[in-house]
Amino acid sequence: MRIVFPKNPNLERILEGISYTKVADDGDKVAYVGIFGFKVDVEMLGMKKQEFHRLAKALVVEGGRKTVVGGVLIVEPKRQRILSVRLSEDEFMALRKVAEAEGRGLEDLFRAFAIEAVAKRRGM
Amino acid sequence: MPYIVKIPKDPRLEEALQYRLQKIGEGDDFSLYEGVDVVVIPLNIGWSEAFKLFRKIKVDGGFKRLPRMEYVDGRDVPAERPAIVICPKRDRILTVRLSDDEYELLKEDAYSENYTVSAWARELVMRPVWEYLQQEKFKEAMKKAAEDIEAVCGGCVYLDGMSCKNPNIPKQYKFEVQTGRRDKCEYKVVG
Repeated sequence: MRIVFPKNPNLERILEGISYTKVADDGDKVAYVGIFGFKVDVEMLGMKKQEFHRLAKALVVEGGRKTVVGGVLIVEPKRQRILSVRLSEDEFMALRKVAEAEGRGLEDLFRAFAIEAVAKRRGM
Repeated sequence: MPYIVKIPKDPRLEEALQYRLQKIGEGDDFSLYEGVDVVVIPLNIGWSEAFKLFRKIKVDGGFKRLPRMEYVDGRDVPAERPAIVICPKRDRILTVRLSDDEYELLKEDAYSENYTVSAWARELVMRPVWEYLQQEKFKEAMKKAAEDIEAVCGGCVYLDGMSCKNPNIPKQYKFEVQTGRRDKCEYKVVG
């Protein structure tokens, strides 16, 4: 996933923290490439709401999509691969229990846990 | 549903099983165990004896394997010692959408551990899930235990990691939380 946006040190720091790499810098705009989706809000970026919305509007995502909900910007990669996982009844019920407790969908939770675990193992 | 393992009465096998599966019953010449997760039972016997023993083991709601090979230093080599693997039946199918990069990352990691992508994803996800559920059970048991101690001894009970602290607990009361298996979390207040 490639992200292009007007220079912003706070967003750049956040992206570098989740293993994004800077691939271009033309003075005004910067481009980063990375694997993971992310969520940032107004407070994390230390911006006013208007500035935040301006940045969110100017941000371009290649190979993914962006969503702005209130003061939160969500960037997710395009997900076109399907992974089928076989689970036992107990495993399925346990997963469902945790998903309910966390208020997340089953697929979303599974993907997040798997990717987080791999990223951690790889020191990303 | 947990799987049920019926094994012939054999002290070597029972010794290997006691911490891995839960015993739920026994007959004159067999014992019944119950489990929910994959268990590997290393055997301290020769291969021919292991094959004989393996044939006598029956698994209901799961299946058994006696792998001849093991994965060491990035390659498959003949296993030095026999180990029986018992797995639950996996009838549920969950489909997960991933991006190309996420899939490649997972695939690379899975192959480095000699797993298929889906088996590795399941392994990575189920570990924290079981841990989370065990912690929740433990917290609940601790909370209930704290209420019981408060009822017996009065005052406020402080939960501190693995123990309950209450300066008002008289010395004759002993409090124990027993846990260890993910599906078993008990406590007792004994005088």
